Amino acid sequence: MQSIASLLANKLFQKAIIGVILLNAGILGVLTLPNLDPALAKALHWLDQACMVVFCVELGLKFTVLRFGFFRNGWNVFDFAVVAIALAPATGPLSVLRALRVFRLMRLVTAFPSMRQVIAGMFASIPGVASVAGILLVIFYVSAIVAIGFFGETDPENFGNLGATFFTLFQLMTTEGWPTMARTIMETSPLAWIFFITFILLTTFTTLNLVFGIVINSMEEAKEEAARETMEAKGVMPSHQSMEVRLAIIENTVKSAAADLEALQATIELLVNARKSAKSKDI
Amino acid sequence: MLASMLSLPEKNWFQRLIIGTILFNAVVLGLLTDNDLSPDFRSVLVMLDHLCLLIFVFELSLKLIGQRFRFFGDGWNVFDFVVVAVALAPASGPLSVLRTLRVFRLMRLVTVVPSMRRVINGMLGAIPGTAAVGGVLLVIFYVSAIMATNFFGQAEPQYFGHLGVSFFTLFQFLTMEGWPDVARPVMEKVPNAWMFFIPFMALTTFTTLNLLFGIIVGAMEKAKADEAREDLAAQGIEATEESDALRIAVIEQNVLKISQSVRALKEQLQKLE
Repeated sequence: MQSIASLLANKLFQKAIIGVILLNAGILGVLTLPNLDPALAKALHWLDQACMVVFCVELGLKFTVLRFGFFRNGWNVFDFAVVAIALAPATGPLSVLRALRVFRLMRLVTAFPSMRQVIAGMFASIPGVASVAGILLVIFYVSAIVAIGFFGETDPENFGNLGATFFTLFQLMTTEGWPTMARTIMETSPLAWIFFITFILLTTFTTLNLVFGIVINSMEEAKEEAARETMEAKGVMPSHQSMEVRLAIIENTVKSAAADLEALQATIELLVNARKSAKSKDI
Repeated sequence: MLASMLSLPEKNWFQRLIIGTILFNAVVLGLLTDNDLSPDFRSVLVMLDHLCLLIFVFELSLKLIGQRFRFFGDGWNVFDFVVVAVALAPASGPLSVLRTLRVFRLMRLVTVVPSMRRVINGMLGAIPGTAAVGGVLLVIFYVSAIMATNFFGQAEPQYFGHLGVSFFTLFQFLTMEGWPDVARPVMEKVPNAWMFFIPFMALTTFTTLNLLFGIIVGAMEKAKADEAREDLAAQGIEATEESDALRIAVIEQNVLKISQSVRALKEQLQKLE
């Protein structure tokens, strides 16, 4: 047991797994080529299977060490799901799984701690921007129904039903080809510019807000994480509170310390004077 | 009895009921966009839509009676009121556009969910600080629209025929969508037109970015400061409203005072020995 755990923690073993993932990536890439020599294709398939065996063995070892604690870690669940997809029978309605086995290569992200941190930071910032995403969704839904009401008859191809309208609105949000569409519709409904311009302004702004929120939050998260690690290495107790809160605490502590010291200084001065006068009396 | 009725809008379960009604109403209005609905089903949906509207009217009347004229002091209440009133207005003749606009009722979801409200509040709160940039953008647009109409109105009346069309085309330039398709035909007739188009795009895209970033960063900082204040209040620490730079200056001063006091104390203690 101990030896398995130390094997899993071994740097060399981890590097070997990364090597296998990279090898597997190369194989799956070559397999997409057309006109592949059948003998070579067969050999590559064999190698692909061999990589799979390595992954299965690695996950099996991890599972024997961690038991059911294995599934408590999100990264392990991801690794498991991605390897399980490749093992599932890819026939009939499940044939889509054959294409999805390429997801295995995503394990490269979970194998490198630095890449893991980036992804973890992004996930951590999701709750903070969920409300912005909610607002974007409300804007989209309301605009879709309004657009169907206004332009459903003049342009049924783009605004005929809810699904088509959502697609068209997404196109508008990316601002790709919107002037052509808007000008055509404005020939029949001249006031359509009000809808188009408002929608584009609102959604591009909200999207920017969303993307910014994720990027800035995940950057701060990563920075704080790194700072925490260096602090732990230096033996300083890291604080889990935000900068704002910490600043306010420092502010208050320093202020009261200054006041305390001033009072202490006054007391000691009194003491010194009292002693002086006592000494002069003695003399 | 009346008092307990009037306190309903503050109850948690009532607010949840309203959120549920809004979501339900959203589904109903979404289904109603389908033109192939059977008439029976359609009339059922219209009935359900009216029912949702009735619930909203009931909720708003309770608030209106409970708060009297203070009701209109809160911008969110005014928004809710207008959005529900639009749905109640007769949607016939020249007002038939209102029939489509009743969908705005679903925007109430934003006013009911506190976290979404905070985001909007943050954005609105950042507007005054960026109003100057917005003004600059407006001036650039107006001046450019007049110039473009004068320069290219005859060459391409389709794009620069009058002020309104020019505004639309300039907005298209701002989004950078298909602008070469407009600029090149104009340049065939007015070869120097690039001297207008390129500075306009450079100026407006930069100013817009400036505006948007200003709003977003300002809103985020405000949200963060609010959150920190809540944290501090929970820990019983007094929070100051001052800027970070000022606070750090005060800390600096205090630390300086401390070190001076400590030095003085040390000297006095040495004298004592």
